[in-house]
Amino acid sequence: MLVYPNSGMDSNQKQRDHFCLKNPTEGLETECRVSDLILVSPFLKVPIDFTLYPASVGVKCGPTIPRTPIIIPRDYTATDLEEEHRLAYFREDVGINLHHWHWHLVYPFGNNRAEINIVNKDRRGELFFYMHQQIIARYNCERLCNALPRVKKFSNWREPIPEAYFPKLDSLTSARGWPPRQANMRWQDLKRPVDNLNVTISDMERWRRNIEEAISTGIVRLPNGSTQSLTIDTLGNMVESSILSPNQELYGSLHNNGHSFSAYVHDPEHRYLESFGVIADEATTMRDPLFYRWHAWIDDLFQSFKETMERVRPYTNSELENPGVNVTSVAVEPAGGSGQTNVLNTYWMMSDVDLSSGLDFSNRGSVFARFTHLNNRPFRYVINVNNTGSVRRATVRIFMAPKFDERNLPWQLADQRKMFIEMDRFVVPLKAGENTITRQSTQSSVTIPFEQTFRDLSEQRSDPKNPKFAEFNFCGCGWPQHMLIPKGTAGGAAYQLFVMLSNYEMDKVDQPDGSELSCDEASSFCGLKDKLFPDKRPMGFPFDRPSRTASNIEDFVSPNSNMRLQDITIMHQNVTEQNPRNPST
Amino acid sequence: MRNVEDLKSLCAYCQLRINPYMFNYCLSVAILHRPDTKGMNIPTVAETFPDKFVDPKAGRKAREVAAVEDSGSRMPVIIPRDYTASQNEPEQRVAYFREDIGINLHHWHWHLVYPFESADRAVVDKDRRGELFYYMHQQIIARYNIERMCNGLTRVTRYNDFRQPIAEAYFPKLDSVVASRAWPPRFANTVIRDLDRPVDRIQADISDLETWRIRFMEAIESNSIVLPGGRTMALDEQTGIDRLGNIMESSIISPNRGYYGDLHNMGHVFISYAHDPDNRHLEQFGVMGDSATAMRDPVFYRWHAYIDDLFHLYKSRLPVYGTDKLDFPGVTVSSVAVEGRAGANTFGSHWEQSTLDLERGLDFSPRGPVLARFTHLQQDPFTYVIECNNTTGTTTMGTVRVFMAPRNDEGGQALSFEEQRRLMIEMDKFTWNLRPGSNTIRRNSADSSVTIPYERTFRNQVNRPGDAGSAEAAEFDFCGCGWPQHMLVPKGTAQGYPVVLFVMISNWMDDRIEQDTVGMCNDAASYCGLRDRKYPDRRSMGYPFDRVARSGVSSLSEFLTPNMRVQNCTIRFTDTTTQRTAL
Repeated sequence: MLVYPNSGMDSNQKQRDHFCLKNPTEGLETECRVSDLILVSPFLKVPIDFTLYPASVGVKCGPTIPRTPIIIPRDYTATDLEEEHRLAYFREDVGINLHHWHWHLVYPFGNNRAEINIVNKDRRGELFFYMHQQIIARYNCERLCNALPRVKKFSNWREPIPEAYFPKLDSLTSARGWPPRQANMRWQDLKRPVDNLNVTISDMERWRRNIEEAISTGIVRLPNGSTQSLTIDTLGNMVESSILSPNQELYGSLHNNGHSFSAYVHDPEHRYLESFGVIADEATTMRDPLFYRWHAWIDDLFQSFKETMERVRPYTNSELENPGVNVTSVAVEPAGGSGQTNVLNTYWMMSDVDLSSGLDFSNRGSVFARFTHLNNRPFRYVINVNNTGSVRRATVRIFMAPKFDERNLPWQLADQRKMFIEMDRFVVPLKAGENTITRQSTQSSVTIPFEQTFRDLSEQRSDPKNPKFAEFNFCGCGWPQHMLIPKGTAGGAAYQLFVMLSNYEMDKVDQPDGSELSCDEASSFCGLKDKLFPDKRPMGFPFDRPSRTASNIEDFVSPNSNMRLQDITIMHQNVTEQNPRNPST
Repeated sequence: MRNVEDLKSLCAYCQLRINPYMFNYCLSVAILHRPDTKGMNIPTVAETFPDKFVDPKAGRKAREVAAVEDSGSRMPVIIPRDYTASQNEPEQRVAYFREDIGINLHHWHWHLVYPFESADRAVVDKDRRGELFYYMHQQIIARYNIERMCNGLTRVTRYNDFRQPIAEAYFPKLDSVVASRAWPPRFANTVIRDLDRPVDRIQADISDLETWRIRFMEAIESNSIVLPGGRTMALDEQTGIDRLGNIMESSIISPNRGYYGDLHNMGHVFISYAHDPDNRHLEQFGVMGDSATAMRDPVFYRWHAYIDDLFHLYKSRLPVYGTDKLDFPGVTVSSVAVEGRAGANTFGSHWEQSTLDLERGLDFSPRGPVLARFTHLQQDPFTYVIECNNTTGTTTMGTVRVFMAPRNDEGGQALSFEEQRRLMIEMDKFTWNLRPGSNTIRRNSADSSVTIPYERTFRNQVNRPGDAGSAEAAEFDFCGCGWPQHMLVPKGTAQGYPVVLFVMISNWMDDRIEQDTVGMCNDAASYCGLRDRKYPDRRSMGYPFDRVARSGVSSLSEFLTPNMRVQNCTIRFTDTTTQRTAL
């Protein structure tokens, strides 16, 4: 083996491989330099990942030998030569990918009308827009932290795609690796009868024109010739598309087919019997840089609807204000121990997850994989509010965004509004006079705790008919707590924290009576199981629409006493800590 | 290591610590070359590393079978014939050849027997190894071209413009056990790029390939090579091709590696890293970078077709064989025939389904046999019947040389001698004692000097007879190298593919090499030579078709001297699958 690759290596090194087994006069210690042999081999430069081979070593070594976790390195899919690799910690975060997978389990787009009861959840089209909008905003925040510009939308579908992606994952079901995508590949017309795919780029362009037509006229054409006016919820279902789309013939299935086109660039006609790339699977798609380019374009389509001021009017003062509620100060404090006010801290953490249920045909106890992920120090928001009116309730909405754009210039609101990431949303009672609101970062309505992200899937997998099954899937939906805060920078990334206490009378939702709430921790991105979305405002409020008057965030905030801005800093500490939950070894 | 015990200790130490491919390779090279391990067998790579040879779905299924079922009730795992591409891809028509496990095993063993580098120069510096590098690969290209023509494809296009995209894609669909990642595919229209992979210590530009190629051609044109220090050395008719082979590959016995570089090896390296030339994606090399897997990839043949063309440029400048170099006065071949089940002068081919034990490739678990069932080409056994007449009046020795070539080109026109000679594939070569008067030579296809038997290609080390060093065990030495018997005859066509069978009896006194060959595994010497011996034929490899014809000869029939004879034959392929019982 390795006959050809050896030829590029220095010959001393190479002679040693043969030497070490052949020279009869030299002893083991002096000449068989095992470490040198390892260096010689290009194979061992490649770290292991979630695959059978290394894990099975752990399993087969037997229960009597203490098992040390298999360490998954942070940088295993590319090197820093590839500038997109700076975002690998985000794209390849196991928690983020699990969230995305669970979201699509909870909100399937459906294959036929019989599934309509499962698909037709409250505001699911709008949530499709909003959850993915927030992913793009969060991804752009991370890019700015890593000195990269915001992601470029994939708009010209006939252009080569410069971003390559080599997933280095094995597929358990097909017993084959996930196919990579090389740099500068292009979409090609798909003709894969075996996948029931027969769609051309021209079809995509036709659907795009029809949707753009619906957006600019505000009119949706139905199959029977009648029309209805366009809403964000309808638009979400049209673009995705789900079976709730009002006219799949006319508006097609842009988002889903875009994933298919991207996933089959290497084998559009099934000539090589190849399967799809990671971008076509909800559990793996967020690993691929192209996912973000595609969704940046999708988001742009939604934003162009939000920006049609004749039909989606900007918010009026009465919608934004909350008379009598004055936010007098906002601060971020460390949740425990010492630390600076208004500074958020991120660092690396090593955590162990049990891979044994992912290994086929073995039932031999736990095998832990140890991987490194971003984490943040717990903190709390402290908000002082002066209520000059009577006792009432208010919805606290917390967002944040980078203070400067990629050129280090202050933002126009028209751009910065798309950068605001939701941090929390909760309802508080306000007594008359001074109120101090304290809220822990771990209570965020966006996230679920670490244990919930990585719980043991096998517990429920055994019985899909279990009524708890849907609930189990639902509980997995939620942004991972460890990714709540963008990475920041070593020197400190300047962010603006935005806090708004909106008028609860305009926010509240009357839920139908029914079962107890379960897993309501992450309702901002995931809604509530079998309930209405718990906030009546458009998702993303108040940043989902352009402002009629304000050109920057300060102008937007200053007329409204119920809003406040606070400059904060996100510091990244380049240290790796052990997760205290890791089983002791 | 002083003795075998030391070697075993070292193995025990290294096995758990170094990359299994590296381990297997080092151990195999050591066993093949140490004097004290001559009686030992090297593990069969298809069984130890099934990931290099069979669809990983079979491996996955095998793990399941091994873990779940009792060894008594295990059914073989079936590997389909077309798993790397569909018939929409024209190149898939010859996948049965490219992906044949036996062919890939032969190629892997050949490079094990003839490594291009070693600390011990003697391991590399074997008799005529540069020439054999040329000849063995020339025969691969000729055989591949015939298979292509049987399948309605043209002869393979040379890869001679390193700046042009490679149209052929290849998706190997093999898992790599070591990296626990799939072998990377190559997409259609990939262009090779300058390599800068510090981690592999590979830094090379495409212009290096172009420079080496020009210098190689200059050596041919000037019929001399530049030595280190600037002196030149003329190439002679006997050894020139051997030196050029070592320069081309290149091996450490290349006369001037600094000047002539490493054209063939680096071509493989460039192609195998085309998907990640600067290691930015931490990708390993594709199948072209490993001699156990390279022959699966269509681009292997494009690259070697070009290399062969460069050797051909040299060969075309050598003195032609006059009739004095060809004829064997007093010996006349009067008739040639092929007898077999398919009928007179007809070769029959069909599919055969065989079973391979994957047990050794399943890690860390004792599980008993796990069988994979795969489908490969097979031919009916046949016999050459050669009538010849010896009028010298004394008993004399002759070397019988049997070749085969297509009769027509892709367009159905008769091939000229110049084209046909490059498509001549060696079928057999053996010596025969010719009594005065008429002689009838009967020779079985299974005795071919090109092939090794099916059982040897897929031999199971567990069944090896005798103790290390015993006579029975010695037969196992060196024997993994050899064209697989089941691929001796091209596939042919359902209608019957027209070929010409060529038989020549040359004067053994001009061919012979004086040496002792007792006890050697010598049945595939044509492509593999003899272990620790000289190549057993003094003539240029490929003789008499390695050079252009004497003037006045434009067809094979004009080429013939009385000691030669041709017979038109057909290869008839029957699209049925027979079962071979497990070994």
